[in-house]
Amino acid sequence: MMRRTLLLCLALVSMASADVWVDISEGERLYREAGGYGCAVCHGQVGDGGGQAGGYIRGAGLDQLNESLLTNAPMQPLSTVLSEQDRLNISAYLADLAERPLITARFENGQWVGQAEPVSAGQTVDLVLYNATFEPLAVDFPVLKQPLTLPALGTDVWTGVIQDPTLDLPGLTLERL
Amino acid sequence: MKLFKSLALVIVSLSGFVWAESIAVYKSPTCGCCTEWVKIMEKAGHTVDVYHPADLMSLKQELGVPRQLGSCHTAVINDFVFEGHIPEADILAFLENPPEGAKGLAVPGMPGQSPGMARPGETYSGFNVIEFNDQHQLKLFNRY
Ligand code: HEC
Repeated sequence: MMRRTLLLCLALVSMASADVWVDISEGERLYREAGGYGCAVCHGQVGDGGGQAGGYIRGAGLDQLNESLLTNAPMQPLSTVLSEQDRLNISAYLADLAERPLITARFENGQWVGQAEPVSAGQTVDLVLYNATFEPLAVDFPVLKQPLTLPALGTDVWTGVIQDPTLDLPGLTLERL
Repeated sequence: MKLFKSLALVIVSLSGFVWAESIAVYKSPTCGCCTEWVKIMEKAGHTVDVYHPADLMSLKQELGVPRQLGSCHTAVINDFVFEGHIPEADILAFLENPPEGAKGLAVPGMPGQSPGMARPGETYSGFNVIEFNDQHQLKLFNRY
């Protein structure tokens, strides 16, 4: 809660006009639901791209969002349902996402392979887990505390503190970005 | 296009499956790529009825689309469910000879080189067509 409020203030300061409030949670809701299908279907669950057409947009600013809504055919219809305030909220959510390094991991052919943005010890990360197989998969990286099961072709996002990506994620081959 | 339509009709008459009167497509009013997909189906000679339900997400659930296979639009043909940007050829192949127990097909998410997303004339590539059943078991149906 502390962190969220702090970010809210930061976002506030960085806006051109100082009396604009942004609501990160509302931005997240819009990210999932805008237009009935959300941004996630084209940009991944947490702006990670998720192998979809839209690609990575963590940290994209309001200008980039406005520009895309204006010029990008798949996004143009959304411009009619997103108010200026909605756009501010969404870009605040995208800025909030970019505060956390992203680690993506994909299970295929019997092994986990992934990519990690630079992480320092003790940082909170978003870990996107994708099961590329046609069977459900139990995931038991120690850092998860509680094992989870990914459905066939399922994705889950874990957000939490990681001490060392290699030690905390044994068996996952990570490419450092 | 004409040729394709007659070809489809020939397939229909050969295999004996009866194509529904029309395809029902459920989408959000603000979905442009859904409309592009509908246009492709119409060009191929099918009649498409488009609906804009208030709650698309729960409709997908009711129709039995596994959550992780979700895309933007959902089509219903002869009680089978087709989720997302599936090439027409795969829908025809499926309906011609529905795999045992199958509920439908899906192209999850929004692949850039899929029908309705790709530029006109661009080769479809970089995605899988997934078959699913009522128990949400999945199988590979086709690979692009
Ligand atoms: C139907 C698919 C689709 C939807 C839905 C969609 N986008 Fe996009 N978006 C794209 C595509 C395609 C691009 C262009 C990607 C490229 O050129 O690599 C893009 C580009 C962007 C960019 C510009 C990225 C850059 O590098 O400049 C931003 C920001 C963005 N989208 C945000 C959003 C947000 C926020 C939403 C939800 C309100 C959304 N998009 C919904 C498909 C989509």
